[in-house]
Amino acid sequence: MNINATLFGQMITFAIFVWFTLKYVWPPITQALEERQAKIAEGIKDAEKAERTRLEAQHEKDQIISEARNTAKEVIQEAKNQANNLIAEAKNTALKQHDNIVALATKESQTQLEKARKSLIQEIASFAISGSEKILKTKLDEKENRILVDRMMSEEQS
Amino acid sequence: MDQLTSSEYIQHHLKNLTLNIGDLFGSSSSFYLIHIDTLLISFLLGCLFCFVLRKGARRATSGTPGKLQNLTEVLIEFVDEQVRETLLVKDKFVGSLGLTIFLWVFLMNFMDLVPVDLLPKVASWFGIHQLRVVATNDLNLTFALSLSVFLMLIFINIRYKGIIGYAKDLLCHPFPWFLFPINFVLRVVEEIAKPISLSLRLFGNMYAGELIFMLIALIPWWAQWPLGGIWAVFHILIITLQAFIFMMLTIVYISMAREHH
Repeated sequence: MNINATLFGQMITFAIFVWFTLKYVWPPITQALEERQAKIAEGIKDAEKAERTRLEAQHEKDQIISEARNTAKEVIQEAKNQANNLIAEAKNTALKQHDNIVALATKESQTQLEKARKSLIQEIASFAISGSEKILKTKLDEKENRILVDRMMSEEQS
Repeated sequence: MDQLTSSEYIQHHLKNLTLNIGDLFGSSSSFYLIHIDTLLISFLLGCLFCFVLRKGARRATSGTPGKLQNLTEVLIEFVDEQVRETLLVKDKFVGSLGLTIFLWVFLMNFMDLVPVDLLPKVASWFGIHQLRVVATNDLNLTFALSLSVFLMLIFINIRYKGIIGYAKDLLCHPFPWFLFPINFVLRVVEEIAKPISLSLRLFGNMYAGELIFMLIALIPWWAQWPLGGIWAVFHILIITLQAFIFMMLTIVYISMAREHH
């Protein structure tokens, strides 16, 4: 139970162990811990950054989609307008053509009518002449009678 | 064992394996009787924890740690936290000191949980008839620890306050300077009480613990295991607590030594 030289032996041993721990155990572990701490901090920072980027991307996506929707609406509107224009134009053209055709037909029929009337008058005139010739026999001068009939006809016409 | 009486049995267990190195230079003083068992066992246990921790620390990585590195990290973080909370700064030296004390004292205390007769019996087969396996039952060891801490405290005091500052601290507190003899006596008593209480607390606890294990070993075998079991479980708490207290008080004393008044 008494104190003896063991005391100093133990003090030396103790010093050796403290020195060993201080030199070979403590530093590598604390260094590793600090490095890991830094890594974790960096990891958290990266995760935050990624989250921010994701939000930005989402925002961008929404924007692009809404833009596309607008564009589509515009395109549809334009197509509708164009279709309406085409229809209106076609209607116009058809109307014009219809008018033309009607005008042409009218003109044609008038020309025909005129021709028919002229030939009819000619025939009537010839008929009248031949009739008169028959009535008057050959006594009458055909030339004089012709002039007379022409004058009569022009009076008729006017 | 049968031929021993109870008191002989206990006394046998309380004797260290001694070597008289006084013979080497012709001195018969009992100071030169050294306790081989204390020295050897404490040295082996110290080497054990140094080896294990070094193994855990050698390939320390900041990535995923292995099991051994994990253990080492847990221990170091535990001690480091105590140091930081007490000293308010990180300190590599105090941390290493605390870790060494905690683990070394714990392992030496742990030898108390080895059945009392086991290692002495094994030793007796090799012709060694005296062996005390619990090194913290030796006042030489507990005082070696506490005196080392005490010397360190003086060193730290001087380093942080300077010699004059330390002298002032010793002479001018707690009373005004003109009462310096009283101050000095009070401070010396206060300072010396630290290592004495440190070492005697540890020694007393472990000594009492071992003594009870011996008493349990003396009762009939069929009554031994419940009592021994209960005491052993309780003792697990004691050995850890004593190791922790020794470490914690050392850190607290160091923080006091670093303080300026």
